[in-house]
Amino acid sequence: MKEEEIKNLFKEIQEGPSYGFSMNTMRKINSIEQKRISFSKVRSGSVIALIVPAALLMLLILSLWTTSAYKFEVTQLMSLSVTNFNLDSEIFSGMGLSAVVAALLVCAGLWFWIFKSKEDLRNLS
Amino acid sequence: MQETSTENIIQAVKNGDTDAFNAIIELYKHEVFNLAFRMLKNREDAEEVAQDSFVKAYQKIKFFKGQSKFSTWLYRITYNTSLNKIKSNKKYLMNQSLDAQEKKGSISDLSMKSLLETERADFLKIALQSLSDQHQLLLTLYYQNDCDLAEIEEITRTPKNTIKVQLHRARRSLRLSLEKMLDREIENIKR
Repeated sequence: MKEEEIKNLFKEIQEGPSYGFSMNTMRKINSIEQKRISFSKVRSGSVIALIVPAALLMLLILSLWTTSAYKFEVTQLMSLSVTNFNLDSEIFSGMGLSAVVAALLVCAGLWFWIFKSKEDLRNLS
Repeated sequence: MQETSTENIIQAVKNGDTDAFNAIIELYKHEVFNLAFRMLKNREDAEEVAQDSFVKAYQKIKFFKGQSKFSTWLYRITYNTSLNKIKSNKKYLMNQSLDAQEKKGSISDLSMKSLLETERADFLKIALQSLSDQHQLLLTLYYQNDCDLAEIEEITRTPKNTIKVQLHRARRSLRLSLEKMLDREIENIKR
């Protein structure tokens, strides 16, 4: 018997997978692919969650560092009442200015963080 | 020709077209399943291994550099996955002894009636099942999956000369098994 004939005979007895095998395999591959994409999104989300607070902390430290320590007096803080609030006051131009900038940065950072997290969650769902 | 189209599909998958992989499954599903089935002797396990092999191939396709044929690379994955399944599946070892008994029975009890009913292909199937696992594997790779000696060497990590000798023995064993079956049938006809 020739090799080619044997090959043909072997092809005849070739077993095949069940119906829907390709579809099931593709479904499995697609689900793995979906999980992989979701995981990379979560990872990028966790990176943002780490970077944003770290950056905020840095800004806070920086703003405190630029503040002159000798101007930080409890008595001056006590006089910070709304009625007496004066833009030209020494408090506002010194430590106060830094505190306001820091507070604004913290608020902006938090807002950005929350906004980004919500967006990521929306993309995941 | 097929290799060229396979290369295009592989490139498409590498570029992020997941659905293009379906064409690869369609091209090789019979060969992959058959290889797993010859090694595991169980349809369910073979189908599971075939599916896992395709998934592994998809996940690692970016590492396929095209130094060998894609089919060889895929059969190597299937071969390794089947070996892992055999190792992890204790059920297989229990079934193996049962299968061996069934094999012996299926040859000796093959009556003329059943032979007339069965096709020539079924006759070969029974003869093939009576061979050792290694011989079955080699014949499957060589005749059914169209692998040459170098490809079988790459898949099984066995030296080419050893494969050559084993393949020769496998062919002889198959011929003897077929002859034995035919002789028995001729004797049955004479009676």
